[in-house]
Amino acid sequence: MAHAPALDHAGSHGGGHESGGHGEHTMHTSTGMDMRKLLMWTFLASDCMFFGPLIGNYLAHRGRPGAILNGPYPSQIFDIPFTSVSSFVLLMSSVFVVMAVASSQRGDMRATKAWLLGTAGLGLLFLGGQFYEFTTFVHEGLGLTTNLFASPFFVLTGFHGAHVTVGVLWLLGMAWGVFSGKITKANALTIEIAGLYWHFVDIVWIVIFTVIYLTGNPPTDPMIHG
Amino acid sequence: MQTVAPLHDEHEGPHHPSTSFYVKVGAALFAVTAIEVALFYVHAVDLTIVLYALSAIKFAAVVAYFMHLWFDNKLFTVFFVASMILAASVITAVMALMGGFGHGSVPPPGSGGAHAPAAAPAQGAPPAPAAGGAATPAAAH
Repeated sequence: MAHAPALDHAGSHGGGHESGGHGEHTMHTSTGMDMRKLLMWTFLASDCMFFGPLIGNYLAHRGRPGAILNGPYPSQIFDIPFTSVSSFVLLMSSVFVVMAVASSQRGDMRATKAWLLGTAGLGLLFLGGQFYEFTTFVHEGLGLTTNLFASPFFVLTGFHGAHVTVGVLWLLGMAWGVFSGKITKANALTIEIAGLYWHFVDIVWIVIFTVIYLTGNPPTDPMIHG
Repeated sequence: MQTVAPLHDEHEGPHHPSTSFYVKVGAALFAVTAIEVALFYVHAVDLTIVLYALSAIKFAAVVAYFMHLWFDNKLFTVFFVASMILAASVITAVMALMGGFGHGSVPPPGSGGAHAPAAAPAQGAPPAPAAGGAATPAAAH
């Protein structure tokens, strides 16, 4: 049985090749894969289980008779063009982070830093849009406990926003690591792992945007169905 | 410390899509999103299934190409697909348990009042006093 794999050390020599890290230690694991990447995929799998019930809860209450006894209907409050721009921003951030990963694997750390900061910037822009949207909804009479549309909506999008916030902080940390020389081509896997998390945040928003915003008008919405 | 080559690395390291490939995928994602938003404003027919399908295409593209799942070890795919199946099952179960299916058959409130459901009494609302001899609908329970 293989002995416990050692952790990678930045800048170490060796024939490592996990996602292009030519200089890092290669872990001798039973799967042949870096356990950190496997751990991230495991975490993302668990995060799917986190968002699944939240989405299910929203879908369960959508269109339910009496779900919106007071407060505005989705069609009265959603600003689809504004949210579409937010979606484009998050999509573009996914492109940016994949560029950062590619740059790090090539060894172009200056470009990596730029792409990472760009991704974090777009993430902050998205969060700003979410904050503006939430405050607008509250001002228009839709709070967390207003009705059975509002509660699932705010919980689901709020938790997504929290994930984005963590992602932004993580990316800024990565950028700092590149800037300080702690992250190099040798340990580019760390950037790839951060990228995996960011892409997950993006795909959750893809689902939220479609389920809530584009198809979220319940059959009982008089603004849509008369 | 002496490094040791991993047992299975046929998909790691050497195969990385080019930058232009990522840009093309990104452009395709943008285009699909634009189509989704455009379809949102089409009220003539119910395009929910189409919107879900487009969303699934975007989802798959990000997972396969940006998250590198298409090029990586298949164990990652197994992990992620299994979690997707589990999550979909949980969504279905939550909806079934909470009566989330079948809301589409509820008539719009315009047929019986702006916000009053046709038959189901409002939860927690006091019973309205009878007016003009009209009988108050009996509570469900």
